[in-house]
Amino acid sequence: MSEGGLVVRFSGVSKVYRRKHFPSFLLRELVAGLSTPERVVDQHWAIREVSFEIQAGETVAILGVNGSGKSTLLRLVAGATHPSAGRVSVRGRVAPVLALGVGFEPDMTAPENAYINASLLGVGREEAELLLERILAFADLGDFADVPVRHYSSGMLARLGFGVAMHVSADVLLIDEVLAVGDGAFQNKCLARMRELRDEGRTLLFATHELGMARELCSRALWIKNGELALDGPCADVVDAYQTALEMR
Amino acid sequence: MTSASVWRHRTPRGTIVGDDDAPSTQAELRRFVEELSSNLHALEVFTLGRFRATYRAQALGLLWPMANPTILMIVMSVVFGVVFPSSIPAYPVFLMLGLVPWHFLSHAWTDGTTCFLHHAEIIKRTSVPAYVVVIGTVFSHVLNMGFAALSIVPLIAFYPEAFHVSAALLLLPVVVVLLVALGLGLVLLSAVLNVVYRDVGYVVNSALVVLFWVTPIVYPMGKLAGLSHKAMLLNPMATLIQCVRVIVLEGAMPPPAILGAAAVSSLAVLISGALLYRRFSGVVADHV
Repeated sequence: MSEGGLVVRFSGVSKVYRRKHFPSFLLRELVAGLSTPERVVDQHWAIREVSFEIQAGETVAILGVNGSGKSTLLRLVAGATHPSAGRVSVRGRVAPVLALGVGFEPDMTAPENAYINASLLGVGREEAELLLERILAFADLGDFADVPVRHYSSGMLARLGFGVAMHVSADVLLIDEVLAVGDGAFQNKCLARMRELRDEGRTLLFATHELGMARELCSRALWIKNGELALDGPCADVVDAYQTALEMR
Repeated sequence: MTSASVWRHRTPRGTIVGDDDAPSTQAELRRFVEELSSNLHALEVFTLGRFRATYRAQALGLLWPMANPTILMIVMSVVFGVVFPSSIPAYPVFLMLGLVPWHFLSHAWTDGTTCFLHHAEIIKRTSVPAYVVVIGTVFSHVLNMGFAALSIVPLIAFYPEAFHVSAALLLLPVVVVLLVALGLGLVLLSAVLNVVYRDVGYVVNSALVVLFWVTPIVYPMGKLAGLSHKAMLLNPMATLIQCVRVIVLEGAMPPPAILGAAAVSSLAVLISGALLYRRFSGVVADHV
């Protein structure tokens, strides 16, 4: 979509997880429950009362320490989970690159897996076939392209995953701290491709710890602190504030 | 209207597409069909991927779904033909018609029970709804069943008199659809429960052992009389296999009571599974 307009809107969004991972029906809990009758409901607010809007073509960095809620925020945009309160509205096609190589089958080759992965990210049949060549060229796997991916090094797997991630065309591209892979040359290639995507006018939401990369790529940044939106503004300002806060810790 | 211009709203109560937030069941079904059709390509790729990946690194590959029921058939033909002689004509054919649907159900159910956990990445990190993983897993076993059914073909040479070609064969696809509906329902039930209680796999394995013997697979349905025969009507596997046997072995339409019972019980299982999934789809997304 080249025209302007809103593509993402969070209105008063909260996401609560029950921190207890096991159900209260477990036999051992029933037995334990006989001695301690009251049970504490342990809630974890991954996202609390977050509101913001994103225009088409914006490149937005999502900053925050581990566990602050960046991934949950992106999963909410992707629709992989629903909010506990509030409303997440998204317009257009979303390509959620929240992990590399989702759906990879170890016994299948690079083109087969790239096709599976792209399809799971919402790419249609004709488009996936067209993209395949570019993805494989980007991943640069040499003689390994036709070998089952179980024989790949982790770097090669990541490159293949990245090849797909960098070529799925969508109105809104979500990227969750997956850039920290590959050698220096490959990272530069990814960065160049991200710049290209930005210049094509795609909307990018980009969770990262690489502040330099955020500064370079993004026009705006959201700082998430303990699930709440601490700061929202021009990328350079937010990164400065975030960096200062990190140094003071 | 293209998807590019439509707003999707995620709310605590589910997804609303555009302004369509009518709370009726009809609107909900329409949204489901819309969502499923926009994920149809992902479903196809996932299904074929599962199917191909299963056989990729095997020496005999696709011969396995054919060999498995055949080996069981040979063992049982010896046991029930020589050790405990039975009076059923063309017993190996009779057995295969029960074993092939049985293999589908048992494999789809055991494999499907853990599908949310095995494919957690798809559920947690993509926009593909979790039920696509269920449908794809069951469908990959439908493809297996197609190959397993081919293993019946050589039996035509040995027992030509057992096979009856008739118009009733046209009903066979309906029976297969009901069988798949049953498989989907059972997998939805066990897969959702398995997200919270990881012991469901054991329950399914035990249930399959019981179900194998209470279902007329190695013995004919008519062997049971009175109450147990009526109880058989509640077992969708029993009535579905009976339908297949009547259609193929007798070249006749299955009795309406049997076909009706098969349809009602299979669809009841599917609807229960779908309702359980609908109630707990949020738990599935957050707890896998």
